[in-house]
Formats: sequence, C-alpha cells, structure tokens
Amino acid sequence: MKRVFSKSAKMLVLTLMGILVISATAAVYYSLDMTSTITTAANDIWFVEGLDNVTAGVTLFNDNKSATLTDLKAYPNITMTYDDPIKVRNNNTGTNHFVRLTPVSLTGTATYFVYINFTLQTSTPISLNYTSNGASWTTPSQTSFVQVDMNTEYSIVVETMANATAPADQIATIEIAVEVQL
Amino acid sequence: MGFSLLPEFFVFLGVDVFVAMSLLACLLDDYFPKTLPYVFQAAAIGGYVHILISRDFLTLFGDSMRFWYCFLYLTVALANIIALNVYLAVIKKQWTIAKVFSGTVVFPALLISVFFISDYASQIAGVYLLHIAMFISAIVLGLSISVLLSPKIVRKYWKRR
Repeated sequence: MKRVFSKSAKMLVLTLMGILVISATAAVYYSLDMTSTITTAANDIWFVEGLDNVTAGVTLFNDNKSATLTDLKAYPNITMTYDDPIKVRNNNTGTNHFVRLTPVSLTGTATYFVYINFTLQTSTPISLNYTSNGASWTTPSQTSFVQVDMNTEYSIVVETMANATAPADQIATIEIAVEVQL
Repeated sequence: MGFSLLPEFFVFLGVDVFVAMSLLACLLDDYFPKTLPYVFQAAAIGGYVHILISRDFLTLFGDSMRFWYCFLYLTVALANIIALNVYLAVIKKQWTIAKVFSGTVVFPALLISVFFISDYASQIAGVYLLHIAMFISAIVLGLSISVLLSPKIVRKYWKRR
C-alpha cells in the first residue's frame, strides 16, 4: 500500500512538472511565432525612359520609382499614340515578378476629352482606360496581375483623344500606380 | 498566409516526447531504473532552455542552423523512445510489453514526427514526403495491429501455408 501511494505521488509530481515544462515551452514557441524580422530590401521593379521620353516630357525621380509625363497631348478627333514614353523594368536576373496597374487619382475637366489610355505591353497587355462622356470621367478599375519577366523591360503605351470642339490648353491630371507582387 | 511551422516546433515536440516518456517510465518503474523518469524530466527542461536560447539568438542563427539543432533534439528524444523499447525487449525480455510499447508509443511518436517534418519540408523546399511515408506507415500499422491483437490467427495462417 505504501509503495502504491509512493508511485502515485511520483506520478503526480512528474505530471505537474511535465505540464509546467510543456506550457512554458509552448509559451516561448508562441512568442517566437509572433516574432517578425523585417529587413529592408532593394526593389527590382522601376521605371526606365522610353524612346519617346522627350516628346512625352518624362522625368524620373525617387530612384526611378516615380515618374511624371508632363508633355502628353490630346488632339481633337485624332488618336494620339505615344508608343514608348516610359518602360517598366524587372531588374532581377533570377526572378519573375507580377505587376498590375491601379488608378490613384484624376483631376481636370471631362468636357473636352474622349479618352486617355495607359497600356502596359506585357505578353498579356493590361490597360487603364479613362473615358469621358463630355460631362464626367469614368475611372477604370484596377487591372489583374501580369508577369514581368526577369531582366526585361515593357513599354507603357499612352493613347489620348480630345473631342472635336476641344480648345487648346485644357488639362487633365491622372495618377496611376504600378503595384508589384513579389 | 496560412499557418507555418518554425524549426523550434521540433524542440517543442521533443519536450512532449520526453515528458511522456518520463510518465511512462514512472508507470512502468518495475522494468526501468528508478531515476529514469527524472532524467527524462531533466531532458524536457533542457528542451525548454534550448528553445529559450534559440529565441534570444533568433537573428544570429540562420534558418538552416535552427532547423538542424532543433531536429537533433527531436532525434535524440525519438532515439530514447526506441532505446526504451529495445531495453524492454532485449535486456528485460518483456516481449509482450515491448510489442505493446512499440505499437502504442514508438510507432505513433515516429508517425507524428514524420508528419511534422514532412510538413516543414514541403513548406521549405516543396518536398512532399508524407504521401509515401503515410502509405508505408499505414501498411506497417495495419500489420502490427493484426499481429498484436491476434498472434494465434497469424501463426495458424503461416502454418497452413
């Protein structure tokens, strides 16, 4: 009888100790699971000037991660196409990435424009087509992601058209984003 | 993003194994040395210290190194289970208990470990070991259970052949 009690006591002590050790280990593991180590990294995707960069008034800044195109024109009843004002480059030599175009903002009168279209010439082209009915703009929705191959550049083609009665010096300002999925 | 395993999970698993073995060694104290449960408890506490140190030096150790020292701890724990089974079978000559032990403790512990290692391997390198491992394990498990539960039937079957 004495021995049984002794064994039970030992079992109880070992069980309690075991629960304590397992709980403590689980708590440490949980805290470890919640630990995130975040380091900064150089980006692989950036803008590069295209052949039509002078005509389109392209300026690159912020280490080629931002660009403005200030000399784009829209002519009445004529489709004006800028074939290669600016390019998107995947500078990584070993990894393909995915990008999409996202509308950010649009200001300016809709009265005299017909459309302004931005197309990224990937193998499956994606585009943001801003259209005007003469009274208001229709902002396109975000595109789907498309692959940009490693060490490759893709042009963004810009097409514009103003309506037949458009006077000179009417301005529309459009901001779009190239979002990258690694 | 789904749930993903950290290498330290293997230490956690090893600690569980040591604690379970400690209780088993206490339960079967007629067959094992009296100090053995405490040795296993000490090994479990060692695992706790192990994971604690790993957390503090997380940024210093790379993923590969973390995996290997955690995997080593789990391997030691599993090796101890197998050693206990061999001890029961060979030294103590307790064949029946050894068979039950292998079916209820050793095999499930190995299977669970293979499951998590496979999951980790698929997460890191996209290698799916579990399909093959589970298939083989299931066959072994089925045969073990049939032999364990009805050895006479198996013996008769072999005699007939």
